[in-house]
Amino acid sequence: MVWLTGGSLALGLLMVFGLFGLVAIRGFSTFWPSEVVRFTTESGEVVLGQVRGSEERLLTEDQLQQLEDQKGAETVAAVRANGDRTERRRVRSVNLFDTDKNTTAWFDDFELEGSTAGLDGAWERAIERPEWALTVERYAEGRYFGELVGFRSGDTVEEDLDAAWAAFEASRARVDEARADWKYIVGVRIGRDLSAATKDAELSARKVALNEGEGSVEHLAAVARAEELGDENALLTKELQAEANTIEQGARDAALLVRNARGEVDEIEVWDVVRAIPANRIGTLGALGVYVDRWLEFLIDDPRKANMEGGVFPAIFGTVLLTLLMCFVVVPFGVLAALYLREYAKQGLIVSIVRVAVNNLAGVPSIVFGVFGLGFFCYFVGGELIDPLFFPHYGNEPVYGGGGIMWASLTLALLTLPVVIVATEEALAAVPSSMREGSYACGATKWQTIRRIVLPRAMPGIMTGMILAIARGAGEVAPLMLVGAMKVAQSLPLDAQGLHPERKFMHLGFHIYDLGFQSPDSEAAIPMVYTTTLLLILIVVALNLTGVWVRSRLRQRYAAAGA
Amino acid sequence: MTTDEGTGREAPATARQAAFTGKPRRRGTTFQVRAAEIAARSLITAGGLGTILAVTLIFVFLLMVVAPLFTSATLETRGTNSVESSVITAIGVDRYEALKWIASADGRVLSMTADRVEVIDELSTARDGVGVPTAQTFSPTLDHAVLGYEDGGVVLVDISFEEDYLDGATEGLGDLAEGETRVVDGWAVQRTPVGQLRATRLAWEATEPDFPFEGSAVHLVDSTDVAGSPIYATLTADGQLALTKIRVRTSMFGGETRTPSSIELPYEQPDGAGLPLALFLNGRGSDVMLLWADGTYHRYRENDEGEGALVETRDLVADPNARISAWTQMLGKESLVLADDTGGVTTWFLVRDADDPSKLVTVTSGSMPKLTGRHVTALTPSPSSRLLVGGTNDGKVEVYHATTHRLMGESDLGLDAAVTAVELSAEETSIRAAAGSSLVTLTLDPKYPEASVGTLFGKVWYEGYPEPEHVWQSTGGTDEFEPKLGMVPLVYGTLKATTYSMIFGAPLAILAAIFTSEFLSRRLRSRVKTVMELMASLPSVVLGFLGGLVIAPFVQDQLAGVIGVLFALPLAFLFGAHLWQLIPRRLTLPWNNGWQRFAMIVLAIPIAVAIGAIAGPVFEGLFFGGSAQSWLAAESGEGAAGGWALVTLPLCILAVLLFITRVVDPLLRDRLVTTEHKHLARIQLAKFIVGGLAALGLAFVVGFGLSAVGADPRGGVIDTYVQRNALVVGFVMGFAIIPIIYTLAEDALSSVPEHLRHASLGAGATPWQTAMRVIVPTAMSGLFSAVMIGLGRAVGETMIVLMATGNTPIMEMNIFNGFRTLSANIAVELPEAVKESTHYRVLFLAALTLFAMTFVLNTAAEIVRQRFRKRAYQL
Repeated sequence: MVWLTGGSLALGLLMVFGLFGLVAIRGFSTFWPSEVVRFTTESGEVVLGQVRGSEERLLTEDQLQQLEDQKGAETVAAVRANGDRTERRRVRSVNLFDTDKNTTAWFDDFELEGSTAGLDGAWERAIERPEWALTVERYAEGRYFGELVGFRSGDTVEEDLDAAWAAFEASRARVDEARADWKYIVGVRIGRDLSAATKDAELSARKVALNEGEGSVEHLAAVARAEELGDENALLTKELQAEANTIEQGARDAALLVRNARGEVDEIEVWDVVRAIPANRIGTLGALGVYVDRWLEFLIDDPRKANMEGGVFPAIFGTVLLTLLMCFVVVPFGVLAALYLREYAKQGLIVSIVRVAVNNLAGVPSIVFGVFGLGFFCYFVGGELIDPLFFPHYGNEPVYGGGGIMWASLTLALLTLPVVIVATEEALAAVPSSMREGSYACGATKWQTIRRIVLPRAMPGIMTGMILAIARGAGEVAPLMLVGAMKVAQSLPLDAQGLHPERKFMHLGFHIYDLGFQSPDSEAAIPMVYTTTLLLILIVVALNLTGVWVRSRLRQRYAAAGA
Repeated sequence: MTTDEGTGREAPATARQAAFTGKPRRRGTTFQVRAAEIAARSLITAGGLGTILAVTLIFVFLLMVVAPLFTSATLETRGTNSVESSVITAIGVDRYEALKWIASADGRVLSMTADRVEVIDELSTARDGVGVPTAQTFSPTLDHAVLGYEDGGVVLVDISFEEDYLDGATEGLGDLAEGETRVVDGWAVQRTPVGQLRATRLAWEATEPDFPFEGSAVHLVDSTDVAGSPIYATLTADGQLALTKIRVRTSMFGGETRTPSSIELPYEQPDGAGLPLALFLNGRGSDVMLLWADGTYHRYRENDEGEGALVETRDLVADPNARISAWTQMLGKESLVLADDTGGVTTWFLVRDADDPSKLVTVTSGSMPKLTGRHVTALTPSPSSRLLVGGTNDGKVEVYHATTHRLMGESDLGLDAAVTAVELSAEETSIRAAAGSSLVTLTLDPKYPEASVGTLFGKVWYEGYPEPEHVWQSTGGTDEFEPKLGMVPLVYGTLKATTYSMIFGAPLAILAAIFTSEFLSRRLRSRVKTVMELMASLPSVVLGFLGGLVIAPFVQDQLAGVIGVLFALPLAFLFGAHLWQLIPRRLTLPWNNGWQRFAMIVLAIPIAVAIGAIAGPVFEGLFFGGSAQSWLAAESGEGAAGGWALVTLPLCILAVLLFITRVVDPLLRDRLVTTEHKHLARIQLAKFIVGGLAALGLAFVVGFGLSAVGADPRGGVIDTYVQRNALVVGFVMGFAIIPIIYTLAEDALSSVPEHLRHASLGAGATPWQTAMRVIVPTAMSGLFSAVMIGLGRAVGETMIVLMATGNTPIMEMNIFNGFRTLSANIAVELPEAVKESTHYRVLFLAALTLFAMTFVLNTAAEIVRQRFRKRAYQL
């Protein structure tokens, strides 16, 4: 029976390590550029793509029968010779009917050309690794796999492959720069500044209408001003758009010439290319370079392609900002409440009831806090108090009346409040009463004692509480789904203009949920989900470990000081 | 700054006066210190109390949002007008309540302002040379009408309201206030809340007549609309019945061609009954129902060959003396509502026959509260929900909820006349009733008719369901959809998730805690505990993702192997334990609390996994026809013996265990007392192997026995396999609850005083006996509270169940099927719910339920834990 208890513990530990290991392996391997292979299937289809996982399976008698009907006796004989086993690989390749998209399909060993000669080693025999096979990541479309055949710059075509690759590399800097300019004009100047200015003018006109009366002189003037500005901005937008178009046209002159699996040559303009990798010739060091580059992109860039590629910077930013805001609220209030309960309130029945209630609150499901946050903060405080009072000119469009980072952080603060209160209370209780008494004996007042004697001694506990609250808050998703986490947020909640507490935000946890369960192609999104998961786990675990570490450090210090 | 509180600043002076003077010092506390003291006290008190208040606010706020659900509807008379008209047969009003129309028996249709009787326009339904309609029926939503004439003509009418926005400067309207209606050139004009001028008028578009039976006067007619194609049924005065479908084709030039095609139905007339009172066509246009005054009911249906036949005959009024006094169809035209002159109002609809699923039968889901001494004379359904308004012969208006048969409100019109027509506005804010030549407007606030204690927590008989059921289905595709807000399936799902995850997680956590606290060295203990606590910090979204996208597909692929491993693991540990005993004691003794034994235990896991993964599929091949999943779905012809064996195996193990401890052990005990440890270990191992085989054998005997009797385990705990299911959730949720239970349980076990342990060991008990007989009983309340807190976490867990189940709100104990919990339901539906709608408030009720459930669990745990602490302290 001892073994049964030990087994339970072993299983528990195994679950932890297995889970962390799985996430780490899958998460860290996502960005490693794998080789590009080409093979022909038995039906004559040529596939050029990347292997994204394999598994061995044992075919049952029924499946073998079916296989015989479909593929003939030879295939089945080969499978039987291999002990009814076959290996299959998932291959991601370009969809030949729509080269913008990718297809991911399973290929069994017995489907490969020449597999009837025996399944053992059939894969190695069937594939080739074209030297100049490229994996091309594109901005708007899926990945492209093809063989480099040349590089076109203007009207001249370079067909020598080494020279073509060199020319492509050389053109990157120019095109990237142009793309950055273009992005600035389209995204920032037009997409943000100008449209914001136009909207501001309209809103202020509506505000004037509300203050001075509909149709008043001031209102008409404001409307005229808004219209004038709108026209001006429209003109400016047109000019900027033209400028952007010129930049784009200028940079769209260079293209990679790539042959796809069917043997057709496609042109991929450098403008559309995020990154092209000659996967079979870069070697380990080159692959490492690509790997690091992709991680950097993941950490500091915006997402692309419905979040399935690119980075998660806005989500990291949102998570961190949310947690910090939460911290600013929860720590002072949590400490105040704990001080009150432990130092000021008269210890008795009521205080112990309150204490039980606070403890209980830690067990209330997080979704309930989300419901409260939506109903109370968003709809009541935001929608019925703040909006009509400060933003009547927005009409029915909610400003604070919907989800936003402020409401989300307040909701999380409520959620984590018990953690801070309990930790602080414990820390306060742990301060020996002899120290308090000593302080009083020296004539110190209560507040002086708390400030100089009690709080410093309780600091480790308070810090621990804070860090545990952060760790809990950073991993919480359910309430955020209700109070403002978004799939794609157009703008960050903190920018050069300052904090925008009403803005919606992206969040790592919600990103995982959304990518894994709401995206159009969740199969293809799984590697990305793993990487995001890895990142989230690293953040949360690091915070937790910091908590433990801080606690032990501070304890040691005070233990030494006390001795 | 540290000098701002008085003492520092005075330092030089104090130093000078340090010498003893013999005089008592007279120095009060400085103002700053006192101010700081007061400020700190008030700030901390205010902040602390405020924070605690804020916390209670959550509960209060949730309650405030939920409370209006249970308020009752209000109904009061707004005004009475008299109209010069013959008997009013129908009333309609536009959605802004600017104007209404009334149709009267003399064929006139008057449109007038909604709250007064200022006539805007008048039109007639009479056709030239034919006269007024001999039959007319208005659709429940009052946007269609079908009229039948003397000459056999049938006219379909589209009733709508044309809207236009006038120029703000239109003459004579500058002083029009909001809420006021004024008539301008045949339009009713209102000022909208944003200040625009909105004009509304009635648009009455009648088609050219069709002639299903030319020359025979139409006696009864009804129509419906299926995807833009009208269908109508006609009964002529000379007893011909037909169902006519009209195909509407829009030509390239915008013109429409209508091609009617009729099938004749074999009309049968009960002896001496005369022509029927009413004719109904259901919403899909497939069934034609005839109703006679005594409640005789005939249903005709078009069969696959395109021929109609009488398929059902019955009496819908039980009392032979009762006569039908009013009738209508609910929104969607699938339910009939009949009122009789004894005061009964009953709803009827078609459901699949329980005996013969290919047939439909008409059933009643119940009656409204019976009126005594009076009866309903006019009925109208709500154009948007399941409300039903009736007018009575003594001039009262009754508002019912048709699904739950509740009387929502009643109002006396104050007129001494029978109500001939009633109408409920689209927004359900006003009712208009006609009695005699008076037209009364009533203000209605139905509040939340879909929600009551009965509908939320009881079985409800919804339209089209064969019997009352618990159903949660809050949104549907069509306007006719009725939200079904039964919370029981959600509560059931929550309990199912909790049960399965506790079955998996709680024993594992508690056993692991016992091992950690009793059999590990102090150093290992703290490390192991840190790792397990790390598990607690895993965000649940991560677990949900792994559960839904990694573990669920894996388990589906390897179902037999996974189940094999589930059985193999505990067996392997027990087997390992027996083998361990075979090793000479002097070797194992120093290892018992060290890493060596634990390492051996860890080693047992891969062996068990390998055995289980091999044995599972073998077992599957032998007893489930090679595929457990198709066996579960009852697709393979394999018998039930294997399934029973599997289900009863745990029970059989228990039985054998009981047999061994109660019967075998006492027999052996005397003889074994003197046996050496080495031999004892061998005997124990033999006992274990024989016992195990006996349990397996017993399970199969039971299995074959039960399957021979014809019993089938499928349908209960095991049934058709669905990829995202309770098994997966149970496993993944284990990750969430194991660390919580483990940590608390370990704390409880470790806080049992050392002297108890020492005393027990000193008295000769083995560590295991000490753990089981001394430590665990002492810490029992602590363990209990740990389990309760784990339970609380499982109840409210959202992301895992959201991602790792299919979220279908079904009520099945099947471990291989999904469910929907309260928490996942909130996460899915609340973002879409309209603020302050019934749905929104019911979701808040779901949150409140969760809150209450966890609060009860946690409070219980807290109280038990307090008691445990006290006891541990006393010891």
